[in-house]
Amino acid sequence: MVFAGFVTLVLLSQLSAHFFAEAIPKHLLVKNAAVLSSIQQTSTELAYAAAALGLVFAGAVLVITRQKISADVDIYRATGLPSSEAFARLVRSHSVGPLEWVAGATAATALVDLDFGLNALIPIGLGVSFAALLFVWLAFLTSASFSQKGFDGMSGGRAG
Amino acid sequence: MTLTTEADGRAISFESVTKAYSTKTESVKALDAVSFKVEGGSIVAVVGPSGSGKTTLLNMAAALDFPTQGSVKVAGLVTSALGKEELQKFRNETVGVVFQQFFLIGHLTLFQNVMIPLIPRHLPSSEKTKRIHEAIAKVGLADKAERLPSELSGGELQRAAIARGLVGDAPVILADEPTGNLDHKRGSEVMDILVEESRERSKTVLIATHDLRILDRVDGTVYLEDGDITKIEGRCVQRDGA
Repeated sequence: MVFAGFVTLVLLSQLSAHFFAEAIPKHLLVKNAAVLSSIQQTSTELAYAAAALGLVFAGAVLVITRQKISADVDIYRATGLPSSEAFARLVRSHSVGPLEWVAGATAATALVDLDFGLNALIPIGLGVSFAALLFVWLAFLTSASFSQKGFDGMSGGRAG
Repeated sequence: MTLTTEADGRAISFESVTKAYSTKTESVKALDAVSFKVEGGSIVAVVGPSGSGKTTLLNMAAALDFPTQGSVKVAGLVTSALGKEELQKFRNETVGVVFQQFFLIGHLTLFQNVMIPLIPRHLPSSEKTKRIHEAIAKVGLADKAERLPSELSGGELQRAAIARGLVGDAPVILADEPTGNLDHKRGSEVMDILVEESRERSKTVLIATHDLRILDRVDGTVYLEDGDITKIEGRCVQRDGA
């Protein structure tokens, strides 16, 4: 949920950066090419910086949740599930909520972008990147648990 | 003859098992050349203070951890010789593990948690459902199947963990402090279940425990201290290769 909320904020920041970069200058009918260019350049830089920061922070959020997710994988491993089944269960239980949220936020941001005649590829690309990051992370944790020698289930697993 | 073979197929043996953990400055031996054999179909307690190596020993029997030296043989299988798929099959079908800290998945209901060992089994879903309900009922939680772990008490979590350990009908049950969070009455009920698994279903049950009250319910006892066996009681347990 934290991951999803954070993604939403980043996508919204993309939207506002776009807004500043293109919509506002257009609507204010800024005539001065130098001013227009300056606003657009700064806004574009801000948009990319927000995207990069978003991916870094999303990664941090995932790292923070590592213990909880690893504990789940360890339980699946300890009870003899194959790694593919454990990964599938992990995806089902830990990605559906965040992905629904990411998809919703991406769609909303992209639609508003399109409504303003702006390029919606950036928020869509960012949404896809967040989703890919989540899948890669879950795959990494599954692989890490299944390749370890000892039992670490204790890596945070407790009930409830 | 058949009975002997079957019992051997459920035996647990540790042969000169050493487990060492290395830190930056030293190497610590959790188990130090431990050797013993538990007869198939018996119920045996491993007793010792915290840090004596009980959980390490159980994890080794469950093939969740492996010896630095020596070998562990469970139900005729040397755990460190198992390949990836054999290991999964072993963990799923040969042993049923009850963890000290329960290790239930927080977002799954009791029913779903107990179902986990049956996921890879090729059984009709009606059969799986039947087995899950039976396991949950056996530990007295029939009315709480749809509860999340966060909605269960400590004792109920313990019993949920036991239900998950039993549902797969494995020939070897490994239980780490199964009565640790229970009062005397509940602890006694849990022991009834484990004793029944051994007596009536010929399962080998190995219990790591602090709870000395259960010792009159088991067939044998292995006393462990600082990773070493100090004493063995009961005819079903022998010092093996020592």
